[in-house]
Amino acid sequence: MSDLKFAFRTLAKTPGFTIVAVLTLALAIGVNSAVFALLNGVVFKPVVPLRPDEIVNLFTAKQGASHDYRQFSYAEFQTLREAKDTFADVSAVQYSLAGVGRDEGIRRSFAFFTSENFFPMMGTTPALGRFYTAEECRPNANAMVLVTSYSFWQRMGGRPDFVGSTLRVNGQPFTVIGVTRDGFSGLNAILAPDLWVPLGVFARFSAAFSDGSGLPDLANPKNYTLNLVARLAPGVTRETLAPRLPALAQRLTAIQPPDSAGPRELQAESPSRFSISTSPSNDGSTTFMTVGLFSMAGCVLVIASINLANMLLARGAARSKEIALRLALGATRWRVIRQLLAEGLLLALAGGTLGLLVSLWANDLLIQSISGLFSSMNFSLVVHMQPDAAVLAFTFVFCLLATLLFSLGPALRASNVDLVHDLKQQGGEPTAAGRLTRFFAPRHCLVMAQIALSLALLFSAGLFLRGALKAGGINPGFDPTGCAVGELDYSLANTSADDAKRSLFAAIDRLQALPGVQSVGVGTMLPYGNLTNTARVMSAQEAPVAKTDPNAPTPGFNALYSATTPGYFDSIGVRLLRGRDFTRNEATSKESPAVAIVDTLLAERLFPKGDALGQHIRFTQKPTDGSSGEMEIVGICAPHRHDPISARDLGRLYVPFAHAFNSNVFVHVRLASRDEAVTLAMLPTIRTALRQLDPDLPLIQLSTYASLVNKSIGLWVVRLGAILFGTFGAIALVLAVVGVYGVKAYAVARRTREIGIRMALGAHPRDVFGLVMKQGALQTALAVAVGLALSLGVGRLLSRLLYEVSPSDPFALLGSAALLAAAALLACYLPARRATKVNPVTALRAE
Amino acid sequence: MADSLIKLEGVTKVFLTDEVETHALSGIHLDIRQGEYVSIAGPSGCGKSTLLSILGLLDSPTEGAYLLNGRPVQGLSLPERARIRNREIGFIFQSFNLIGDLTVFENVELPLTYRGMPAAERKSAALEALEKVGMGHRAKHLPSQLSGGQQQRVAVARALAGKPAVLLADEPTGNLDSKNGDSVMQLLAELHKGGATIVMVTHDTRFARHAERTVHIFDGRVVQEQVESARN
Repeated sequence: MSDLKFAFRTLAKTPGFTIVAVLTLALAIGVNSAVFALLNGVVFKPVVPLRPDEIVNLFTAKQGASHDYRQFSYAEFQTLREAKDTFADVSAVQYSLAGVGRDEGIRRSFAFFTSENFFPMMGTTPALGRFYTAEECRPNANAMVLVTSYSFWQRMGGRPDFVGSTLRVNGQPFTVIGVTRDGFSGLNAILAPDLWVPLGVFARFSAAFSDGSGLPDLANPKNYTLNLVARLAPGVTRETLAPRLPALAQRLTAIQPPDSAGPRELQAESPSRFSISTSPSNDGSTTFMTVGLFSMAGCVLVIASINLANMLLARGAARSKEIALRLALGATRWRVIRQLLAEGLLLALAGGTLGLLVSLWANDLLIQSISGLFSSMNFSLVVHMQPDAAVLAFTFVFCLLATLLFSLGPALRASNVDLVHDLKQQGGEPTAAGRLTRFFAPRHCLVMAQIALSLALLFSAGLFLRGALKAGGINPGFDPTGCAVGELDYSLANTSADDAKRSLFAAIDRLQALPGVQSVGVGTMLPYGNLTNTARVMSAQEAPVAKTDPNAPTPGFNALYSATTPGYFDSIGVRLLRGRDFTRNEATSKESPAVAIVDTLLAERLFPKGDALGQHIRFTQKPTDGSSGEMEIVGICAPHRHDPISARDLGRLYVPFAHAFNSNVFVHVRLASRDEAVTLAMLPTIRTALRQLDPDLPLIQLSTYASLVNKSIGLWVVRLGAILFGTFGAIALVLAVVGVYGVKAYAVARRTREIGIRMALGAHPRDVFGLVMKQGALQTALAVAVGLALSLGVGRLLSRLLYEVSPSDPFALLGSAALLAAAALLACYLPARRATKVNPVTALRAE
Repeated sequence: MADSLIKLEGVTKVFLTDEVETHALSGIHLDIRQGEYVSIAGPSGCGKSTLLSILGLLDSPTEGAYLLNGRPVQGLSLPERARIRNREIGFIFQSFNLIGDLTVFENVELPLTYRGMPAAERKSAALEALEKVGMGHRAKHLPSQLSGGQQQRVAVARALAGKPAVLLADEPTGNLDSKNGDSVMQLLAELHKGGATIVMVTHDTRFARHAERTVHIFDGRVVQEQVESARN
């Protein structure tokens, strides 16, 4: 304790040093705490509250075709639920979107349908009210009750009488019967649904999503719509589970309807923390991301510790007489080391406390960024990045680690003194050593290592920045400027398909008549949006292949699939190169001839040797409505991107809106003006026009297309990478500058007498300036050379995270090297200037 | 009588510290001729080192004039003073002031590099100076590998190498034992015999006697001047 008291007094006496040291540590420990808090919230914390290791996701694929997955029917769910020797319980989950509220206040929320045993199986209890019963979950029970998330309840005002109130969901009144516990998400580490709905209302909900040709009734044995989650029976482990699965698969095969697609396989996998998928998906990239983030943050901690070590080395040298005196008075070496470590610990704790605040602020920004990304959708964010016991413990560990890193070495060195020499020594006296020894003195080696590491971080930042710039500057192939986009989701208002179509075309006509509007078109998929639909098509001339060999290549080509109305291409700014657009009749009537428009990519793939225009194509999977599924290609459009980061090699297939109705559509309004301010100003007019037409129109969002493109998840991911690595790089740069400055300033202070001698011998100020700068330049050059080699290695490690940037990108490499070298030389400049101001009389008097 | 090499006229030096004026030198008049060996003696704190700093253009007087080779130098710019120090003045310090990470040869060569002298000329001048002080055989050593007396000899060689107009020695024997001190004084005497102008600051009357003339300073003023013949 007395060590800490003395350390406090010593540090208080040198406020400049203490402030710089604490700020340096705050940055480094703050970054590490922020990264740990992020990974703790997203990666490390168990999602399932009760014995998470026992929970598995179940998947079924066609036997022998391991990639042909589908979900489970209700009958299959019941069959597996009965396998009590293998599973303690099995519950069903289905994911959906729901419109909450009415009229203009309608908002889209995530909703999960679950069986009644889902909550107890996860080990959670309600925070308020109750969860639903088995009776309420019986197919078509249609009990209009639901449970909300804790976050949703809070957003709705957190009233105590919330349970029992009525909530309008998809146009229908539901009674709120309960609220989940704060942070409960089911199986996802980031998002939780706002609403938990009993399986018994599934059919009523789902009917609004399609034109009625689907099979929403759970009792239908061909309605494969459920995802299954199971808890292993006592004594069953993941290893012993595998041999039991084939027998269970046989039970599934036995209950298949007569015309089903053959025997099934059953698979069990650990639940993914991030994805919701009908096929197994692992979180392998998470490990890579975790290691990457921790490595970068660790580098920042090492760089900061090097800085601190240098500062403490200098401080130790300046205090050598004091330390020698302590030893002369009988202190043991360990006593002196303990004293110096106490100073380091105090600095680290102060830096850690400040760093914790930095990490809170940084993670708050990240949460806001994620929330902004899904602004058109309501959900409950369950990532908790507040400092809990684990974060506080890790921050303390970082403090201890930093203390050891930066203060142990200097403490050992400072306490290893020559009593006679050091007691006689005057401040600033240079020790006799060769030039090489001085050049490679520990503090110079440390600062060179720091520059090299900083360069690697700066280069990483450069790579991500280049990626972000490329992604932002890429030509998407469509023109978002001067275009407004409104998203309508008729399923949220429980509107029938026919009513939705009528409403939609009336809206198109209304908008088309607005002054300043050039064209209006509707599509069921938004380029750079957050949803992707694909379909597999082939030339109609190709004979259907009976796929007996599961390993045989699948015929046809995957294509991005969208249903559109006339005017769509003009509205999004994609050129129709040949042929024609769809007609109004084709877009409104399902009875019209089946036609299609493809882009040049798909045209060349389907018909590499001939003209695609006028050719016939069909889906590789036969339509369920009994039609031939053949379509005539009536137009060929220019290719355009669907998102900024995925490969650009998927072609596009468009069909008339009536032929692939979807209740969720995007209305594109192309204005005559390309001025974004005009587009923004036009939004209220468009909203009013739509509301005048139908006050209940389920308008989810209305904004300029340019702003939607800017909020694309792909761009966000690339930019987030640039921001994260840019932050690491910027901190490394600042620390490098502080480090170089500190070491040079210290070196100049130590060499004051030598500089005085040189000046007495006739050195011109420029000679002295050159002396300091030359050494700084040589050390910087050496460090940059090592840093360049290190950077190339780091670039290789990061290559799988980079977007269209070579891992040895010369611009990033040379740019970061030039920036760091310039900063390091600038950091040398001030001490060098100070050296020229040395007064030789004063310097020589120091003897 | 030969022309004055150094002429001080009413030189005063005042230091200001926390609003306290300290008169280090007050109205100093001094005339030193070419080839003369002058010692400046006095007790600690009397102003003799300040006087030497002014003579060596390391410091400038608060008042008065300083003429070096007939040229007023008290108001020159810093670079110009550096140039004159480099070419006209050779310093010998009490604590040798050799640069620890330069070899003996490089230390002696150092003032010549600031003069922009070609490497070959520098080498020959530095080796000649080292031979003159009997240190040619230690040219490649570091100062830390030499005894105190040897280091001071190297310092003398460094002062001589540029063939300055005057050698300024500040307590050159202060850090040496009597044997080495005598040896260095002997060396200075030999240099003087060879024609060198030497101004030496010392508080040791024993060494002051080696000079032709001794200027006694007390409280910043010249209180007495003694010439060798008068002493004898």
